[in-house]
Amino acid sequence: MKLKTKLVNHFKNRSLSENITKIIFFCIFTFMCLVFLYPIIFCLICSFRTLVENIKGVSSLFPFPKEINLKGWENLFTEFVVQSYNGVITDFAGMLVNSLWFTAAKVLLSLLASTLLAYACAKYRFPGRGLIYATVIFVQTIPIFGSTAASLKLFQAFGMINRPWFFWVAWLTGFDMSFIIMYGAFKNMSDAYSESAKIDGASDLTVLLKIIFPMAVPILLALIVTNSLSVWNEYSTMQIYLNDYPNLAFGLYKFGLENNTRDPSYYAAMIMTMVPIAVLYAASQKLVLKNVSVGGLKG
Amino acid sequence: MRVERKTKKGIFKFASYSKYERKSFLFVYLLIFLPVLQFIIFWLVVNARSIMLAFQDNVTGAFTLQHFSEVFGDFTTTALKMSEGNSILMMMGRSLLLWIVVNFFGMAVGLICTYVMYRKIWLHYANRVIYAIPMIVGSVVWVGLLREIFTGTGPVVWLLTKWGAKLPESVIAGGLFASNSPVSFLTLMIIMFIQNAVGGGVIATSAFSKVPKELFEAAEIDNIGFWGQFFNVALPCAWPTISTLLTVAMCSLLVVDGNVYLFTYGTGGNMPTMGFYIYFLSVMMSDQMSAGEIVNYGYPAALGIVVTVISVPLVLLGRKLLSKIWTEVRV
Repeated sequence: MKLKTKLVNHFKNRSLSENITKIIFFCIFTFMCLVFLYPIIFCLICSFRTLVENIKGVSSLFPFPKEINLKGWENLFTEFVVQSYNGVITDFAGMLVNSLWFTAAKVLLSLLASTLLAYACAKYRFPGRGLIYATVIFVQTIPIFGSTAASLKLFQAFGMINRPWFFWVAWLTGFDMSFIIMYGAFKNMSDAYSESAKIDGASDLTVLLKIIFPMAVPILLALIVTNSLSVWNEYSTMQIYLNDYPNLAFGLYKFGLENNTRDPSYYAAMIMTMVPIAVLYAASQKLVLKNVSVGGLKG
Repeated sequence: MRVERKTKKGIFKFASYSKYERKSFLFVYLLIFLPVLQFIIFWLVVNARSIMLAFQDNVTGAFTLQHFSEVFGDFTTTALKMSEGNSILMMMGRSLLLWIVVNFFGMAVGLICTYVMYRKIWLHYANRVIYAIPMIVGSVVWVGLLREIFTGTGPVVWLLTKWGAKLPESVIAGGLFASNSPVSFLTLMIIMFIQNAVGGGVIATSAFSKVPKELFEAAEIDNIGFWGQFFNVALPCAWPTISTLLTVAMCSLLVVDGNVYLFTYGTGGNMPTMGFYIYFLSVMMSDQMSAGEIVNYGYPAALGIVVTVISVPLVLLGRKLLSKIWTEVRV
């Protein structure tokens, strides 16, 4: 009854054209939701079927198994393995660990670099400031291709190929989109607190750590989430530079390439790969929407 | 906070700063030291080295124009290690077509969908999360999922056959993304369009949400309808964000890859794009390096220069056009 009243009031308060538009779009959106969810549901069903059933194919949109087969999930940590060019074998647990450290290291290091650079450019005037800002804009908006050849040569010369502990320096990329977002955020931050602290004798470092960083925490968290999404799913770094350390994304690609993709454990691995990052996104969607914007409305 | 001082001749003199200013000055340069050093080594040096590699012989290191000659030769004939008929021009054309479908038509429809969701359609929160699935789960998983439903024995082919569609033999045997499927690129374009059209985007949604509510209320008082508010209020106000997104997207004008590498397990199948080809060459170099073979650095480097030279004027032209729209709007 309450819902009915709510719906009636909702329609009453709006024009006819708006109501018709919303009804049409609601139907389209609901159908599209099903389209987007279907591949995941299909994959989940296939993870409970046997290899023979999966190879045989389907004769319905939702091919539920005659008997639930848990072998794909049981074998996930034993049979889902990939071998690198150098013969290094990595299992699912190893790939999960690689995904975790790779995401944490790359996201935190690149965000640290862009935050420090953005803070310096937004709050201080020093020779080179304009050049740094112009360079970031140039790098972000002018496409330059074909640098992998030189990167490979450089990484080989530095002994960085297949050595992730030397890779941290490559991830300190401050000249990226995070710089533009953080620059906008710092520009919009009031100087009142930091100036008061300076009058009270606080050093530049104290101002940065105790005043600026706490104020920037929401936007930093939002950037951690959005950057984690892309880094968690990145496979190219592992394929080209860190072949002995496959993460889940590269492991899935390699397993699919070298084995039968109808294997129930392949489906189970896909589900398991998407769970951590989906949970992270769902839990922080409002935070991301509130804090991340590029362009002109808000930093 | 100022740590900059200009002398009469504009020459910077560290000695002219007070003790406090010098401290701030050092602090700033300490902050930027590592990111700037990283940029110099991994962007500036790498790109300079890339230009040099394009003019060097792979074995002797002597100056040569051989790589450019190979690249220009591949513009109309079958490109290096590609299957018959896949020239660089053909691959660039596919990328451009994908860009138009994704960033032009996809974004246009996407903005309409994002606006409707922003105006609080029922279940809009759930919709936003569900449409972000391809972005959340990542290209490897999403392509893996799609590949499974588009195989010859998968549900899509089953459904199309059930509805009486006459599918080519290659599709029935290997699925819509089979290496010899005549409809693989069309399928890819439809998928990319749907993903971008209803997916909208986190940043675009955020841009709409920051348009002041009073503007919509004022428009309603002036009897401007639902769509009138979209074209006269929401779109102009969100334009800085949208144009920024388009400007960044313009960088990939000729090199959109469309996840072809993942769909075809690195072969390109019937639909190699320019983005695919550039990545394919990178993997080829990495494999040659791992196998201890002579690495063909020159050809990918020369190709990169040629693509950059073609892309940059197009990007600059696009940016100029974008900057002329709704210049008077200030929120």
